[in-house]
Amino acid sequence: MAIIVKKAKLNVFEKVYIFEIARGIVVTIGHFCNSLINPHRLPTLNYPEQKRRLLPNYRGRLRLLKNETGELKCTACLLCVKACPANCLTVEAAPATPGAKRTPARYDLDVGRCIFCGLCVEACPFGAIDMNSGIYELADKDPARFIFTKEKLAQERGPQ
Amino acid sequence: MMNSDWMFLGTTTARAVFMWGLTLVFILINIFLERKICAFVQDRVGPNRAHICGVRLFGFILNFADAVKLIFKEDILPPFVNKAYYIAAPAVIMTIALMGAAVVPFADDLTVGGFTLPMQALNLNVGFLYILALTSLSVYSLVLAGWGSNSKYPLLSAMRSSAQMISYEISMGLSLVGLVMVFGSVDLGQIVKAQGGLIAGVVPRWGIVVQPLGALLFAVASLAELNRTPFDLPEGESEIIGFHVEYSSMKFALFFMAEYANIFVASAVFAALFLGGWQIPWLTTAAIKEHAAPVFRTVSIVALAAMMAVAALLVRFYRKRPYQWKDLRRIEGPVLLSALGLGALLAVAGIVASYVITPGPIMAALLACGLQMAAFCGKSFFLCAFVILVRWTLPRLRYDQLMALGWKIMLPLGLANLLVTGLVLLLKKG
Repeated sequence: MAIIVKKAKLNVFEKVYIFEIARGIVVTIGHFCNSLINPHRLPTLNYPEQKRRLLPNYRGRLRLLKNETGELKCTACLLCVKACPANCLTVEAAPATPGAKRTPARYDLDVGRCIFCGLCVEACPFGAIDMNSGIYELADKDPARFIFTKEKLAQERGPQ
Repeated sequence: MMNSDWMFLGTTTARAVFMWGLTLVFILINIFLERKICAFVQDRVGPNRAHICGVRLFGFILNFADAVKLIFKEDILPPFVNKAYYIAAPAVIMTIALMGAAVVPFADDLTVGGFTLPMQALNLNVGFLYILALTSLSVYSLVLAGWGSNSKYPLLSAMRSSAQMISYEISMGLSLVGLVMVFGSVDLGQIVKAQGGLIAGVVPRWGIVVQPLGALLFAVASLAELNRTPFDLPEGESEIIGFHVEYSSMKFALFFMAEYANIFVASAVFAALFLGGWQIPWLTTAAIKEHAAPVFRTVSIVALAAMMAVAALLVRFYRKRPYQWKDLRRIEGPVLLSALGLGALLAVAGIVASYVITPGPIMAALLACGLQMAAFCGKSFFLCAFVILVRWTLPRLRYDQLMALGWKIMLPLGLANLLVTGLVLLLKKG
């Protein structure tokens, strides 16, 4: 069905159109002068020099956490591997020694595959991994460097 | 050849090269203005990365990076195009754009040692008819590009744009007839000279004062001829496709350079016809020559004040910025400020010199010429900025609205303007 578009009623000044154009130009000149005189108030962040403040729940690159004695909290239970929908984790447990906590011999993350969904963090029963690292500048020219080993995953900084 | 022949050849070449160079420089300025005005109107920062030794000149250096990029891009010649037309089109439009500014006078006649030089690259007695002829010719380029591309969207766009340009040419010519009736000449040099007087001793006798409607019509028509928003249907980059879709690399860039050159030409012509060209209001050439020293002093003081204002803005900008560049750009502030300091020193030297030296007739003539050139360039600059500001203010017209505006509003208004001007002139005479 055809819809009849209602046209707005214009008064004489608006019909002449040229005055409305002048009003529009005044608006743009206002914005121009504001930006010219107060460039520091523009909302743009100059990215590599200026960085965003991340929210506490921002998901960055996965990170292995340590306990008070400086050992990895991870027990190589492989629940994170099972939870991962992108198959980006490769975890192998170290041979068990009686009486000691189990540790991973290998914990590799392929950032090229990771989709930053955070399901591994939710799956972990020991709170041994998190994504609060605040690391998001992961671009690289060499694909081999997308694979982060246990040592790299453990030593990185983080805001929280 | 005789000595005066060489003189004629040399000065003519110099004037032609000056106007040609000015057009080329204004291409760069216009691209810079387009980017920066667009950014500032939309509350963005605009170009601020490309730099030479840390100096970015507020983004002006990006032009050079852009040029390098466009020159080294792959120049694709599609297999289906008509090669001759396809290659000719950008060359034609650029040639016409660079020819346009030739008849615009940029200063009063310079009299040095018995020689009188008209400060105009091409002293044609057909005046602005030459420019109207050139705008008609530039339609050919669009049609060549559309037809030569041998592809349906460019062809449609070429049809659209040729229809548009032919429609608006009529209004453009008509809007100028009133001006010719008032000033009695089509020669731009004569028209600009006639705008030197004052009405009732106060208001400068500029074209925009004696022909306000003509100025408005000419401004709108020249926007349409330039294919600038709100009349940029030929290009129509966002929804309808323009005549240069099949072009790449420098051929594509030539279309855009021609557009920005045309903005300058249109601004210069508008300035010459309606804003008094090189005329400085309330300051005739004779007055400048007579009071050369005080005029030079005033100019130096104004320049000093302007440089100090720019320096204050810069200092404020660099102090309030919440971050620091990590490369060479961090030295930009000191470099720019020291350049401004050098300029300020020169201005102070000028103020001192105006007290010490009494300028001779040649120096006074050169001063008048320089000031008028500066006035002309300043007027053109502001008009270019206005054309660009209009682009970021108004949406594009629909095609039927475009045609309705051209034929149903502009044409009758132009005729009415003609009638009223004729009546007023008749009453004044009789």
